[in-house]
Amino acid sequence: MAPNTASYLDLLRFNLVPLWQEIDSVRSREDLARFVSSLASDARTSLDAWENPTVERYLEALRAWITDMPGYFQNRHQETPTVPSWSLIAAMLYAARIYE
Amino acid sequence: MGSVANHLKMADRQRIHALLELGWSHRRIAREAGVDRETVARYARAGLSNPANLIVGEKPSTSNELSANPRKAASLPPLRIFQHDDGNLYSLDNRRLVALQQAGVMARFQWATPEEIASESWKVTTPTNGLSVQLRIPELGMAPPQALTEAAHG
Repeated sequence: MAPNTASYLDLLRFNLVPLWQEIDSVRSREDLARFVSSLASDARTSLDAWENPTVERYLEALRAWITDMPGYFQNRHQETPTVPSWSLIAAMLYAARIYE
Repeated sequence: MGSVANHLKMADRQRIHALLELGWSHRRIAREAGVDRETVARYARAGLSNPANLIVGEKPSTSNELSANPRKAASLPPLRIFQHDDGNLYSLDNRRLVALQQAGVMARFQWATPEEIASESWKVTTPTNGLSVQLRIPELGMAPPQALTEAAHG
């Protein structure tokens, strides 16, 4: 059964749902704001799990992933979006957390 | 990690690294390299006690270190690999893979868990079916693509 949106976002807010599982659910400006809030919370509590834990490295990884993302979509047999969705923006922000 | 590395020139870092490898005291290294002891201590902590930091920020010296002392590789976490639907094996730890490969050290592998694969799939952006990776190395900028072994792609 699909989770109730409000309660699911509450779970996310309290870090009870992994961030990456929420990316596909980001479909509006409000969703993205909540996602960014959760990302910030994750940084506060789990920065040691971040591949790019400084602003400089995070932004460089963000740039790199945006540049490289056609490869990501190619590997998933999908077209690279020409216009980013709210979800893709969330994916970019999350990818910069882990991108090598 | 980055803050330590950023304050020292590459040659100084390599020199400190080599002296640490030789077992010199922090005091002696500090005197030899013309830096304070705390700098040496921080560098040693950043470089030697945290394999992830060592490899992320210090890839060239990591390879050198692993070449000089292959047993250090045993202290690194195994490379996490998974099989893509194209049949190839891919690594989730490409920085470590390249460092080990450049050092000529045999890597240890383990299967990535389904959650690790799902949560880190955004890493796989290679347009070359995983046969090479582009390294982004702090201070050195973008390095040329690195060809990978057939054992694990990135």
